[in-house]
Amino acid sequence: MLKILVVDDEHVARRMVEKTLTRLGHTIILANSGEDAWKKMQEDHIRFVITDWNMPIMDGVQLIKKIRATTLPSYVYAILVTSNSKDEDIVEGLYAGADDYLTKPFNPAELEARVAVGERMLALEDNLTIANNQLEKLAMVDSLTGLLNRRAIYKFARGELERARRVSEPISVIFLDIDKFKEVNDQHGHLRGDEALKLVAQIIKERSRAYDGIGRWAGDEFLVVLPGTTAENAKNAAKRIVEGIALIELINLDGDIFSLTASAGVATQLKITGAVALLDDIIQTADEALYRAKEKGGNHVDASSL
Amino acid sequence: MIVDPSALEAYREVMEDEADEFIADITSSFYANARELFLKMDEALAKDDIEGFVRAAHTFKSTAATVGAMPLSGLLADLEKRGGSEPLAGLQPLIPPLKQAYEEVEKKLRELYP
Repeated sequence: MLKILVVDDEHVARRMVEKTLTRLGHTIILANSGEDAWKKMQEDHIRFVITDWNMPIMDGVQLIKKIRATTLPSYVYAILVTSNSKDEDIVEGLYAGADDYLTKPFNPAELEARVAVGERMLALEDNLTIANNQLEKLAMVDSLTGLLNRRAIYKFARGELERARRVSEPISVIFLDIDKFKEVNDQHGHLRGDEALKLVAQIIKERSRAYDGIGRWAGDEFLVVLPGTTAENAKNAAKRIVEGIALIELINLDGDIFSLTASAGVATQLKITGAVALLDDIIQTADEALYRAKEKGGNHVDASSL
Repeated sequence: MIVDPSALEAYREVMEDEADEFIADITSSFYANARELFLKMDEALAKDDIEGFVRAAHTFKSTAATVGAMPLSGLLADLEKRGGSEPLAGLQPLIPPLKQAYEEVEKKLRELYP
């Protein structure tokens, strides 16, 4: 059922539309002028408007033009009501942004049918919005781990870096990968490997704060972005994650338990002085720290500051 | 036909049990509106207010059509048109026949929907 704004300066016509549509279960909001209608649209989330053309000051076409020129939360379906005057050219009305029109006098069956058309259009728009939201979410999420994907974590990091510059706060990143992950895959199969990735993702999530960004960078590489975090705190966070990963136990094909370790490199941008801090430099620094941690035999955390 | 009954009867199907009440509501609104609009037209003619006159004729035209009074609506459409292009003073003589036509419409509607 819809909430329909009915705009007409003429009482009889307004009453007829109201009665017909109320019986169908729609909620009707009445306005007696274009200005009144515009005011009501600011107060209420309205997606369906039936407006008379000829009204003093702001007429129906001006109202529709105003609706089309404004960014509203969702599309407004507009039916323009005309009464066959020489100065009411329906082509002009449609170009102004009306979706459909009715010519006075119209019978209630026609009104109902036109409203049903509008209802179908709005339902299509709803479905499209839902699909778009789902796609957007899918485009941002790594399907295996449920973490942000590479593109999304990069975007998150860029936003946080910009914020850190604005508020003069430090920002840290943790670059993490599973030690000898290739061997896990080779020895225990890809299914176990995928399970290991999911468990690692879960540990990182559990041991991070709600406002940290966590993404799967590639394969067994993960990137955690920690806004407002000093080098020391970031290093501690990385240690907690690495320790947590060392506690993971998986069962292999023979029913034996095997465990995992991971290493992490931390980079902290202490104070962003220049106009732009390069995100790629920070990630690169974390990657180099990770390399040093690996050289120390894995299950280790190393850190650098910029 | 002074009043085409199918205009209001169309609402009978939609309104079902509420039809009589609805039609009574609409016709009484129409009578009240008509008086108001005649006053506005008289006023506009007296003040030579073209916009006011054309607007009143326009509104009256569509209200009349809504209740099925097509000949009355036609007279008003003509007045609306002429109001926009001719001196208003010349339209004064058309008002009494218009009122006459309206009286017949009201009489007919009261017969149809007592």
